[in-house]
Amino acid sequence: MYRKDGENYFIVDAHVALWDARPDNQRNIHGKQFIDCFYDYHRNLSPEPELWPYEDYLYYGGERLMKDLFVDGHVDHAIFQPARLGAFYRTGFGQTEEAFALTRKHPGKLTYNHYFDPRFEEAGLRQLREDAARFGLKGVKLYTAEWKGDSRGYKLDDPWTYRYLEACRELGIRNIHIHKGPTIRPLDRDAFDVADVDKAATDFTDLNFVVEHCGLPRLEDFCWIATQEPNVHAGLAVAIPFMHTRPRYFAQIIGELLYWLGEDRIQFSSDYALWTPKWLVERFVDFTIPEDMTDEYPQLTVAQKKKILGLNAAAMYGIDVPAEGRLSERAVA
Amino acid sequence: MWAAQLGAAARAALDTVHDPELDEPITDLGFVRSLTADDGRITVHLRLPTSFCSPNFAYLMASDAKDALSALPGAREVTVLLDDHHDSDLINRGLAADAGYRGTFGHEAERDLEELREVFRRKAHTAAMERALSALLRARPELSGERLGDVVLGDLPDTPAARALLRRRAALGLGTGPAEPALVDDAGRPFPPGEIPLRLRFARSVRISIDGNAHFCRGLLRTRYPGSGADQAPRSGDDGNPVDGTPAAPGRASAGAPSTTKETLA
Repeated sequence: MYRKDGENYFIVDAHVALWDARPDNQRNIHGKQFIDCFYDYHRNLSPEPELWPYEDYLYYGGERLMKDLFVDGHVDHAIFQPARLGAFYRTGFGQTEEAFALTRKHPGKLTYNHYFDPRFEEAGLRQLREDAARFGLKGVKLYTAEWKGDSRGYKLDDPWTYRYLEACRELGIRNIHIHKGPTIRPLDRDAFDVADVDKAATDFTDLNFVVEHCGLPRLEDFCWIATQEPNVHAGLAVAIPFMHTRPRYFAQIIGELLYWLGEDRIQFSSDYALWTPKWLVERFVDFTIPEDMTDEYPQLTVAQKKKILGLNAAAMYGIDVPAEGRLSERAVA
Repeated sequence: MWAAQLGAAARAALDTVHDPELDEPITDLGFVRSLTADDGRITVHLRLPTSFCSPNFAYLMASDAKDALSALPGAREVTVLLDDHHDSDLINRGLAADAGYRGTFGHEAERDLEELREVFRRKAHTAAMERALSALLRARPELSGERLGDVVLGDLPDTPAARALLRRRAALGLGTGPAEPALVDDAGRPFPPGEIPLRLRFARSVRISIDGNAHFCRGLLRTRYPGSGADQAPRSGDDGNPVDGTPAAPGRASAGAPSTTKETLA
């Protein structure tokens, strides 16, 4: 629980990873390109004292993760959102066994979400059922630009994806996290377009669709569909570190999200280890809309910050929030 | 043609090549890594902010660059190479063979990239419309709300934002006469009065999104290629972030952009 100025903030980091991008695990040049791209994001948006050496960034292991999140990072609960990237990494990018073992070792601290890929068709459906039972899945993370053979992406409204979403519904996997990437078939269209999420959200109203990095680089398309679909949510991964480099831009992003979605459908995520949660949590609690922008965007309230930093994701995942971390009647009013 | 003349002409030709997503010339973004022109032979290396920038946009910019350079009277042999991208090999092979979009991407390409271009021409227009109308509203707050629907192009003061809007309208095939309504949809139709505040609000989120991406892409390019900031011109017309954040990258060169004042949203 993070405490500041007499307020308690229950922190749920809704998007963390335990990856292995070391050269031994890189299958080809794309494995290096991918982690280098992540590292440039990290270097570009982190404050200087939070920068990691490249070697640490390739692989950091479970102990360091626990320290960065729970000892230093103010996090009360974190949710693994692994990307497989089997075409780039030998054992995958997200380390399933290590992350799941960590989840079991620290009960109540971590939730393990897994992935599926609809292009595995029937075999993948069987696997999803096994994974749901083994991991006790409440959510899945889908990276739509995953490469598989000569296919470099899929959409949420593909017929096979619908079969998987139907299985999710049946298996009690309620939370579908979507991470859009640059490739999709056909390449004629914009791969970051979220029209397929719109369609799936309309057809599966009993599932939650959390669009990671709030649709960036298509914030506007995302806001437009989220306004119309009450089961579409925004993950703040990638967007929130802009607080440091470009606070005015971040004010616009959070202002737009609050305007279009409201305060109940926005979730904090550090995207660890892209960034570490400590500085993000501290700065978000301190964050104010710059004075000259308050005509456009109302100031954030303490209650809004509490919801975004943890209460929204806790409600979605059924995570128990201690009494002192809940909203008081006064804060709700 | 002298090498220096051809080089200058090639540079000017590259100024006409736009990143459709960011609505800016690739030269201002610093995407031109090197340019050599000698004895009718032009070689250009392009670079992008990440290896994982969308391959369809990467291809568009590279093939537009090759087309613009090949049209120069003194150009006998044009080579355009995209560096350090996950599809560099594929795209560079396609460019060398003049294979076109479908020839380059094979089964991943269905028809062409015209629809993609059109989507981003529309977004560029929406953002330009918001910039021009928000500036007008700051000067004349009495026009807010539904009255904004009565504003015509002739009401806009002659500013860079208004001129940029006219160019975006022309690119979409919309009228540019002074009596044309200013707040319109992608087909040039005015909105029903009740929708006006919402539509302006949505146009603002389009503008914020494009401006935000343009800043982020500039920053990532500087992180990835130390020293590349010197090749970037500042983006104008973006009032959201007058102070550009300096990313804390170890060993990173100064982000100081040259102090050119040219109209980057041209």
